[in-house]
Amino acid sequence: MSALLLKDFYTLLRQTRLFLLIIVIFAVMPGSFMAGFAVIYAAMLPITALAYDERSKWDSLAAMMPYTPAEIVISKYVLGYIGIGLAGLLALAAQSIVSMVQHNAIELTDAISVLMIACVAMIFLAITLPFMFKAGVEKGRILLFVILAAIAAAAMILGTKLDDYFNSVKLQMNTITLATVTGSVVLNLCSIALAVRFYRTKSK
Amino acid sequence: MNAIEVQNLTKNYSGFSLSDVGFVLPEGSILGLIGENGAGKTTTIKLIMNAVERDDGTVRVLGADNRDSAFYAVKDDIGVVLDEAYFPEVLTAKQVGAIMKRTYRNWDDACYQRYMEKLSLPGNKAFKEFSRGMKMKLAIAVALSHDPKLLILDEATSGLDPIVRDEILDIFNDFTRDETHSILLSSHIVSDLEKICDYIAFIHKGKLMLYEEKDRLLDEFAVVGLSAEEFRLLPHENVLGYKKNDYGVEALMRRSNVPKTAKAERTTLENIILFLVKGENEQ
Repeated sequence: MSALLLKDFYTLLRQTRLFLLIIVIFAVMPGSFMAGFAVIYAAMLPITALAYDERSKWDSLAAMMPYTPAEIVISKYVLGYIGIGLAGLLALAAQSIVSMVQHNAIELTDAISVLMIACVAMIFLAITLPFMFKAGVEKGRILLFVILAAIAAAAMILGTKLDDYFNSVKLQMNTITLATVTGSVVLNLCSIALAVRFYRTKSK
Repeated sequence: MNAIEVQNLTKNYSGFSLSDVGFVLPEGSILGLIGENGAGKTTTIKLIMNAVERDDGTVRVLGADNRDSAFYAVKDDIGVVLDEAYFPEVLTAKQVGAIMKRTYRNWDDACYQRYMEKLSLPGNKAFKEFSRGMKMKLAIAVALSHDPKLLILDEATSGLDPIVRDEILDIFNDFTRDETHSILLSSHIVSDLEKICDYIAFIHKGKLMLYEEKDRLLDEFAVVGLSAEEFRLLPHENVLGYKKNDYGVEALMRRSNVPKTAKAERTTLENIILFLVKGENEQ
């Protein structure tokens, strides 16, 4: 799998320098809102890598090499996790430096908010990648916009009710964090299994 | 041992079927897979590498069933060159080498370097700036640099100039000097295959028309010049293909079926293929 990651790394480094620079700039800007942008952008790197694979018809060659379908699929998830992790760490480091410069204490909530953003990015990855493997990047993106629009519409309709519910049950921050981390991990495991299935079906 | 054993291989697509294809590539030999564009050569190669799922038949490569999970390990011993190189266009030859080092268990950096020098491949130039000849040379260098026992080449020499083609055919010839090395070479350039192959398999419209040792094929088949009357008297099942001209008829026949009064001329592989296709169309 390290070969596949190295290929994506070389490709992204050459093709998406500006995109990578934007991720770094957003990550080091103060405030968790910008950090959120950086981490979510980083979660899009596997889609970009898939688009370049499609353009060069890499899959035709990969099918002849000793890569299993699972390796090919998981490598894209791992690429996303590395991107999310690095952007998250960069954001955390930047926030810590800002706190130190301003002689403020480094708050645990800063780390938790970055962790929560990383979980949201992982959920984004889990939702998007299976569609990309099934329908290809171009069609997958259209499908993705439809799904995101549906989620946004659902959030608008249910948002107030959910807010009231969470206020009424008075959930602890620890519980919410644990639930989000567990949820994103489980969702990613299911997503990987689905994406491998899609990839096998598509390539046969 | 056989490097490749294919039996009753069948794959159905809408609008095209590969039906009941069977051949063997003995170890240490070169098998040429001939057929016009769209005949089913690439489908056969994809089925051999289990890149697409077969509908029927069996395929064994280097002793392993290609549907077994162990086949992924066997792929370490197979070098494949497709009709295009298909590396991401921004990569350089050096980067391709670094990736392949992590792909193949037996990757040999020194060997790759030697091929890069031999084939005059620049190490730091982006792949997208390569000519088609250079791209194919890079793919061939990669295929040869992990100590493969079997090379599978799908139209690897198509679109290359004769000098580069000759250079590459020499490399393939060198490769089979080791008796454990074998090559499956698909092409529609019959002259290339005639030059280096030991066995010939001819696929036409998804069907295997011919599978034979090349020398036996050239010894066994002959083109016979006949008058129209002589041709009319021949049993039709003895004529494998024919061409009419102003002077009479040229017919492809097995030597054993040639009438004693007619003169049989030794023919070329290209002629045999042309007669087989044309004959089938006209009869």
